[in-house]
Amino acid sequence: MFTRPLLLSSKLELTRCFKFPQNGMSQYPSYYIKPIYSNDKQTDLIKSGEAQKLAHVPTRAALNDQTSSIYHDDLICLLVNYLMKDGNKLLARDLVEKTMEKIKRVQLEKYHKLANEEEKEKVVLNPRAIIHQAITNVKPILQLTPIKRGGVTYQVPVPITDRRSQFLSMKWLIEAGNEKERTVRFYDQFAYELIDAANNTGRAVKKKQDLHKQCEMNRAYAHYRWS
Amino acid sequence: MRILPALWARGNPKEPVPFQEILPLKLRPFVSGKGDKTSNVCCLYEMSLVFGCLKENEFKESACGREIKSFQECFTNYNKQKYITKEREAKGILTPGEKRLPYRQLNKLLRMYPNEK
Amino acid sequence: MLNSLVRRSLLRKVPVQPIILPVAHLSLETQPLERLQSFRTSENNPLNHSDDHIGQFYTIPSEHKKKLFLYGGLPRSYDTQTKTFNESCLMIRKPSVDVINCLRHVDYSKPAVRFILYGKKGQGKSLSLAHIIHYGYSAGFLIVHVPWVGGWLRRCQESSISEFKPGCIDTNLDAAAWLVHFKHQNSHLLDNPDLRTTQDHVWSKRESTPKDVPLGELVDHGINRIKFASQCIVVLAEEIKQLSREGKCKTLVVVDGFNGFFYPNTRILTEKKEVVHPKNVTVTEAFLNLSRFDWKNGAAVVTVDELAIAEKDHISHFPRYLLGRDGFEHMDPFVPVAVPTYTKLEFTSCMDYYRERRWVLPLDGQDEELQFLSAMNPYRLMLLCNSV
Repeated sequence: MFTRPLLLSSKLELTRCFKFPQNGMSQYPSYYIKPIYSNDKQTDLIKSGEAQKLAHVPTRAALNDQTSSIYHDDLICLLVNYLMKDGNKLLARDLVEKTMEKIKRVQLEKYHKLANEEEKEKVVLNPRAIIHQAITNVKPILQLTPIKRGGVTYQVPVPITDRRSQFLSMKWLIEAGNEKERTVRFYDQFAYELIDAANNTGRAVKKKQDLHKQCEMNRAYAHYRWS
Repeated sequence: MRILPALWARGNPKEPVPFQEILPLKLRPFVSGKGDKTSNVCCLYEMSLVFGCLKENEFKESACGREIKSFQECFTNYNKQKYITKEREAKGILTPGEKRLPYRQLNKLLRMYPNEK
Repeated sequence: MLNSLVRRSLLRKVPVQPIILPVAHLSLETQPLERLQSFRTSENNPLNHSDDHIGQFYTIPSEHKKKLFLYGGLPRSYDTQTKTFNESCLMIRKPSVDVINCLRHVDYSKPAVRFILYGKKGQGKSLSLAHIIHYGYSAGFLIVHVPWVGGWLRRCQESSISEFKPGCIDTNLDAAAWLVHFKHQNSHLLDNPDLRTTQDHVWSKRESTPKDVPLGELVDHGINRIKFASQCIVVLAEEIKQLSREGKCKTLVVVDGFNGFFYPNTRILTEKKEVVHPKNVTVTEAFLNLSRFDWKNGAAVVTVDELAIAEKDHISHFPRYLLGRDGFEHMDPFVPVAVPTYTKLEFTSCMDYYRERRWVLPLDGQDEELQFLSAMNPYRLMLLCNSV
């Protein structure tokens, strides 16, 4: 029986995800490892000597948005992918960049209005930090699944994996960005939504709280789970 | 369709009815996996704790950090355990002295010691 | 001499790491030294700008900005940046300093000198012009400033058949708007009683502007009677030239996108949907007149920009191609001033400014990466830093 050699990257995969084999829907055979494109990680591997071993392992090609830039952020790339429609990555990336620009402008406006130094220090000016905080604040803890018992479909509260929780968070934020007037640009609305979510207010956070309330109301059905 | 034989029957059948060996008197050499789905629901207790805490604090998650963390840990541990047991089952490793064997392991055992006549 | 030596030695000791200032230094009113930080200077008067200040940012006082650029002249992206940073700062760069130096030392009794600023898209031509306008205003020039020729010829608000020149097209709404702009910029000079019309101008049977009337009245007439606005500009141009010849004022003609006046495919159409050549637009005549060398006591600083023409013809950024044969023969001889990409000093200065304004958060290796990605082009650097 073929046992996969436990490589560095696949060990990381194991600890994170328990559902899918490494292959999934990939065009590569399962023993191809994912590329390591970050400068820091590469220098670490060279120092520890792992790089010599990995150099002889077949590696997948790096995707176009897997860059060694110092501003590369996995979560932002994911957000761009979720926003993308019909494969129009250029538009999605443009929108996210304009969103980050708008976030900076709004926050700087707040910053300049404050007179007190201490309050100024508290204003977060890094758009990436705001996006991360917004996504964390909108992550739900449970979700509802429909389960049929005796001809009736009940909405049962069920625990949720981190990945799905993060996906739902980003999906709700994007939906909140899309709920806008005709004359308002998407990136402006999205920026306001993200800033609100980072402050634990706004439509996306409300959606999460509504979900939690619904789960709490349906807590009696939790026994219907088959797990 | 007990009705039809009853319609055709004439007179009372004599009890005791003589035994007829229609199918061979032999157990199946395998066990079906249908009954293996356990209905033990995980993390119900932790979930109820989370609900209680959220209700008290008007659904503010910042106040319920500990309960939420324990709930999430319970779920991740459960998933990890499930994956490990699934891997072990798929490989067919038999651990001696187990109380309840999954169907794959049982079938492997039965294949090792078949019922021969 | 000693001062400039000291300044040069300070210049060489520019630190490699960006200076991250504490928040209190964001207000700059109380700084006595001329060089506060390596990227800023407190010398806000462009009359004193010289080679020593290259790479440094100076603040345009808000009254000057309102006076000079209320009706256009600064790019829209620069405007939004100004609002975010709470101040309008311009970088002092070599092309504008060279032109300012020339304007200081030119012999104004000789025919007018023409300067052409040229460069690739986004190199900083318009902002260099803005710096030169600020200098012209401070030095007391009468400023004739066209913010963007493309706005007239490729996005005109309204066109009509000219009454004064058969076969020509008037763009009266744009012309009236420009007259308002001209009046606003030069209000302090138009009050001068010496500036008077040199001829009679007849507009129609009942309307005319007589001789020896303050120039401001001519401008007002053009604003009030929009029908005659384009012709008013043509007449005004001739008046200004005559006044400069007589020595009553010194003029600085500043046009952004001058090559637009020679590009045959304007977006102005006649009623029969035929394309109008710029030489058939009344207003063109005025500015071609002002950019000739048959007058003295004046100078013309002009940019040639690819963006003033259609995208399919964006082939080369050089003046000979953009002006075409007619334009080149019209402008020849001129002083070509190249507007290059950022030098290393200017780039570091720009990044320091962004960091000080809290627009870009400091990160190791930032400068190097942005240098490569932007290819030292100022506009590309701004776009990259927007999303950083």
